Amino acid sequence: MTVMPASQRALLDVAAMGLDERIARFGRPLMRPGPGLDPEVLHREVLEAPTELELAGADSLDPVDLEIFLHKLDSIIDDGRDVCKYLSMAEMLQAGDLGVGIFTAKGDMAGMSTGVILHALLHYGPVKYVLKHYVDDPTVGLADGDIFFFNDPDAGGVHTYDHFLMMPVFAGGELLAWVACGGHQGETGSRSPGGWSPEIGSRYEEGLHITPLRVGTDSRFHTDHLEFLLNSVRTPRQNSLDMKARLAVCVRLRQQLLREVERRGAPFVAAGLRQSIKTSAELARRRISNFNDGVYRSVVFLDTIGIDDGLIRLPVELHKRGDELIIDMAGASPEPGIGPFHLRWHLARAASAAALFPTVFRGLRWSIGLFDPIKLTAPPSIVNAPSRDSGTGSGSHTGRVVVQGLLLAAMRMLHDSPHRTGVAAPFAENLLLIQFGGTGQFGNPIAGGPANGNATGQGARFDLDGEHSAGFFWAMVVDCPGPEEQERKFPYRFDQDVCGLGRYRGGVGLTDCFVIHGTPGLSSNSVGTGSRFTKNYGLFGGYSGAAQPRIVIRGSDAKELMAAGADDLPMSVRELADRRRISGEYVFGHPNSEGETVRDGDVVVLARGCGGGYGDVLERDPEAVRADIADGITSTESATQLYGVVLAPGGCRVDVEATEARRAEIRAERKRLGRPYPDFVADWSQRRPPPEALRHYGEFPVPVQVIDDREYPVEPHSGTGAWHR
Amino acid sequence: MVTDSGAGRRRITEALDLDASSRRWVCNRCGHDLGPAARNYKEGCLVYDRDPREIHVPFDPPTEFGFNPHPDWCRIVEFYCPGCAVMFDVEYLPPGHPITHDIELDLDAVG
Ligand SMILES: [Zn+2]
Repeated sequence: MTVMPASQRALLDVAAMGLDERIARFGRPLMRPGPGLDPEVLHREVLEAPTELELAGADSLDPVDLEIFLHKLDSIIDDGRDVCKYLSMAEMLQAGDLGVGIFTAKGDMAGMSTGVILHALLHYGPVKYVLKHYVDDPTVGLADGDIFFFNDPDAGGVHTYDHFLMMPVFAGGELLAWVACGGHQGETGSRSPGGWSPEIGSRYEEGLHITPLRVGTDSRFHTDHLEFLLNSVRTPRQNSLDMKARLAVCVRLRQQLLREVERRGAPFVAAGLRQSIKTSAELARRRISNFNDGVYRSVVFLDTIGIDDGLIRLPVELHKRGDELIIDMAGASPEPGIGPFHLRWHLARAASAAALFPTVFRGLRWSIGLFDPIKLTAPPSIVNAPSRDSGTGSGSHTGRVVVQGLLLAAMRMLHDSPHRTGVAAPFAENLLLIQFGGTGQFGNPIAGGPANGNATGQGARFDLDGEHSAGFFWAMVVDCPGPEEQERKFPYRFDQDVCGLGRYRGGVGLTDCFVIHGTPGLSSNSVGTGSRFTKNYGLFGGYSGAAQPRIVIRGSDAKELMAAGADDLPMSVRELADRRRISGEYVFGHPNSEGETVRDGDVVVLARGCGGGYGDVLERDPEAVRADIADGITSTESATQLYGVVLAPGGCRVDVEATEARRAEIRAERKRLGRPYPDFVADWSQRRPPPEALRHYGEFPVPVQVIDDREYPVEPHSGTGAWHR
Repeated sequence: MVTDSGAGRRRITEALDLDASSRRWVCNRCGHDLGPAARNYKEGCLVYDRDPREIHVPFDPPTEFGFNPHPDWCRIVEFYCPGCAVMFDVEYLPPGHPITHDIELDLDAVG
């Protein structure tokens, strides 16, 4: 018998734990506290104990009045979202990559409008931090008209590139509510212009990290604070305008909420905000009860950590028990420690909303109450990263893959339920973002990128194809600036053989091709995933959307060709890559690059992902395949090879007999090639990816997670230290 | 909850039914038995490992990075009905990664 040395007695194997123990230990942020950062406030229960004002108003809540009030509240918040979009200058804010929320006095989100679901869902963190640590601190305090800024992801932001403002709302001298607004600003003074630095070693290269900071009083900015913030970024004018846009939204939300106080009284408004959360929670539980009890699993993979490529395993186990959902992410790859792809627990939980709110909770009013029946547990790993120094700039990328995995699991729960109408393959997720830095056409400093990235392809639905250039995985309500307007003027051509195939096919994403013009050079960086391993997953036999290359043509003759009136320029990425009509040095790379210079005449291709398919390709209506060929989405070769659809000579109609024969041939081939499961697994389990794919993976195939009980006790750390006292 | 396959069968995914009384997986298209519902339905399927370049057409000439996943990093595992060859599911996996037991119903609760 071996006696375990005392130093190792506290080691526990996560895989051997039961689900409830994993929830107790890892159902919270494992990140370390820091100045201005308190993980405890990030995992508070959904609804805090009621305030006196909320209790006082509870009896006055007539259901009809409440319904009218909530409708009004949502109009106020939607209006705030639109105002933010229209007043902002940063491309992503104009695209609607933002969130606006109204919170109870204790920081529970009672209503939101997005943009990106994440944003508004995370603001409870800074609000609760201020309430816990600053209200009674005589050097900070809290007063009507105060303005707080924050962007630190560990304080409750998303990544440093997203900037937020929040303000308390007082009524009759009492704290009634909070309002918050913000979104993707981009330029934050990080290593590369516009943010998104893929090659960082730690968080200290990701620009400013502002924990809740009072930057104004009496609804006005403090000049010294504002100038400090603006001096820290490359685009002070843009950031200044966007700060003012956020303030305008907060002030407007506050005014409109106070108008409701005049009309209905503060107790009613306070109690109404609280009741809206309770109602959402109740309806969410009732909804979950409709699904079959069981465990639904998926496993998805990242193929990069930015600074280096490698597979990252992200498993999702969705447990449905009665009226509760438990998301367990045990078995994820370890925290890489370098690169920007670390995810924190609170971001993972907020990310789960992007999967669940529009599908599982379809039709329910969005508030933090929808999280009441949901628990998320993740042992220390890339998805619940503990280290203080870890970069999180692309944690949102990791979060997106979590969204894909959770959707795949949830769809398996949704299909046999009264809510089948929510069943769809996920939106395309392989995203390539390119940022440019330098001098713009008016001599102004620029640092940022085009926001058309939001125009990705929709995944196929259970009864319909996915839409082209439709939107954004983070939020099915986000805008992309103008594809429809652009399409009215310049009809689009679709890339061929890139969308996910299936009984219903995924939508094709928008592609931009930039020719650098009128500038000696711009610095550029790009960040993305999905070049070696596509994550635009299909559903129930549908194939994924294509992988995502980054293409640059250096020293091209594109401008000369255009000046000469060439009428045979490539009209799609495939045509560009296959035919090479443009001469120059073609670079096909993985999505991440930093500190590259693009020069006059260079061509930069920015392709977005395409949605996954749904169901078996052989069940696609041959007429729909013929239409896809006519639209240029599918080649005749793929139609025959993969869909088994043969067109009559001339291509105007389907050759029904030849199609039936070809499909019978493919079915026979499946039976010939397919092997019984045990035989297949016997061979398959002997294989593994090349070593360079496993550098950041952990043990293959399932990373072993052994924790030290003393480092991760069941009871979490008790708040923050006295960092400066 | 939505019983649209008839004869006491529940349609769990597009082409996969659960026969609630016998607690067995059944092909929705041809009725082929796919084994006990307490186990992974994939164990009753024919399985094939496909090179991703057959589905995700590479550029011509091929490039190191293109629209196709890298065949050493990513494989497409396909699951067919032994009766009618309908494809129930595909998984995109690194070679050798275990097959996902994606649906494990609480059969007592599902009834
Ligand atoms: Zn069958």
